Amino acid sequence: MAKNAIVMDKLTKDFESVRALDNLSLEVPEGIVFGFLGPNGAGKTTTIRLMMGLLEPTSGHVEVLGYKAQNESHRVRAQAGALLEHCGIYEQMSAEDNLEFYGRAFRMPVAERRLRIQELLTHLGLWERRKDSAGSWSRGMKQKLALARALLHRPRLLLLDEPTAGLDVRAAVAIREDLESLAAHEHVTIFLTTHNMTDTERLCQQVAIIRDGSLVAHGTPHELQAMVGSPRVEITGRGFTKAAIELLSAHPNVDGVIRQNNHLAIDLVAGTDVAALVSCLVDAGVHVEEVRRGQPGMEEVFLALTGGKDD
Amino acid sequence: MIEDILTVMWKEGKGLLRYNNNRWKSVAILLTPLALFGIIFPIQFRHQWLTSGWSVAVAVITPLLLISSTIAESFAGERERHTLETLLASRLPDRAILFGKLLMSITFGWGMTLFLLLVSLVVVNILEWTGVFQIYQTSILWLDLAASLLMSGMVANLGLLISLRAPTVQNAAQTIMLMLFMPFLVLQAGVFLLPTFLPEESIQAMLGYMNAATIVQILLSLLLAANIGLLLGAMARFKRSKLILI
Repeated sequence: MAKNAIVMDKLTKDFESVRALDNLSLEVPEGIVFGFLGPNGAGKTTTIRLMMGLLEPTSGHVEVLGYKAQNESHRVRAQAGALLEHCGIYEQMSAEDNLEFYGRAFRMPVAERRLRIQELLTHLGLWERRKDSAGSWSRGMKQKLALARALLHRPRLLLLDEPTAGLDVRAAVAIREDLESLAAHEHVTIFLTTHNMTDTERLCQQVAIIRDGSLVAHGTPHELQAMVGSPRVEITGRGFTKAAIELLSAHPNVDGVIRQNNHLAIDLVAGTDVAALVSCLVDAGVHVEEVRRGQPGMEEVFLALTGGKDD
Repeated sequence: MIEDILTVMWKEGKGLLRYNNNRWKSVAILLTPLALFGIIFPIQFRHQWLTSGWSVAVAVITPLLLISSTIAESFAGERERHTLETLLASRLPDRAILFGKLLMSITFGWGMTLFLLLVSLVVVNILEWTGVFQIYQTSILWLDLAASLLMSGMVANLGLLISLRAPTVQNAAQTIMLMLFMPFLVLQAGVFLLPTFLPEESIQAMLGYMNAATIVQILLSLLLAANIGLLLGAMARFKRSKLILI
């Protein structure tokens, strides 16, 4: 059985009269990418702060890499890398000096530190501009630098708060691939909070969704999709008349129909015969070009489980 | 631990020379007291600069000016620029962060004061060259060294203590200024109010008992006590889990 990198047990945090986390219990196995999702203000950042020992829980406890975060947080911090809510870059310093400082802070030997800085900055396309003051950089470049800082000391656990926020598509894809490779080849556990559902679907082996500090759902993306959505069929074609759609909506096995131009997304009752449904559409004059079975995406799962709005 | 303290000092040094991301502002902060206290005053006082208490006054004021203008940045600046949380999430121990910031401020304030006293010494020697290099009178020299070091420590400790929980640099800077002026206000009030509480003969007797050396000893002891008290306060107040203000 896989060991757990993170164990939260009835973790609760109050800020005066506001309960930010409410009896959160969760286990994150080692070596996976774990997506921690929730609307703004759900308690994601508070959870990361509690794991790093930057806040004290009101009750409950959290164990990270086998250490209790309340009284052994220094051991957690030594073995974890973090990219927090703000990228935390020293803007008056150069990119190289930012990494040099954290390399020294993590007591990396000089030669290893220099090599690693060059490796990371080159990989992220920042090496040529390493002497620039980080303050003159774009948000995306700072975010890349912050990620390099989190990876610098080869941590066993990465805590990433919105790592691809502010990145262009190419950089976001590169970082997603890096994170996949880290988890797969170096057995690094990645605890990721994100609003990017593409990241979640492509990267995460497990996902937890919280709302108002409480756990709403936890499982693999497929489990969550199955939990939320009925089977779905997507039909592409021409001639989706109002009458044809009304006919479809009235069908006893159809839960809902969404039309977008030449595309229909139909939620079905489990066990529905799709072929019969298609022939019903053809009879109504629709020219069917493609039929595809599908499941709701993570975005729909997220909206369904968090009440449909991002507050 | 020493390696970690030096790491924090290294980082602080990088920031110190680029105050508010403006190198010219940093240079101006350094050059203003240097020009005034290191060149203009010695030109005015000449040989008297080496034997009178003027250099001691400068040794007290210089670290006060230099450190009070930069120390507010120590924690409040990191908080304002959102770098504090990342720093606290590193493996650096609490004491290393605290002492690294403190020692860099003291090194900056005291180092600059010593440099300024050296420059003023050179200026006096250039103006009044007697064939041998003149130095400060021994008692003045010791007083310069001790007073500037204790003053550097006191302002740095006080600034750090306030900056630890201040939400912004401006808030920290205002509180530091208020706290630094407080002793002078209390002293002033004491001078005015003392005759109403003590008979004049008692005051005269007390003043007669105290010579300059005793007053200096009392002031240095008070500064030393303030240093120790403020340092202990800052150490007690530095709690990682309390530094992120929500």
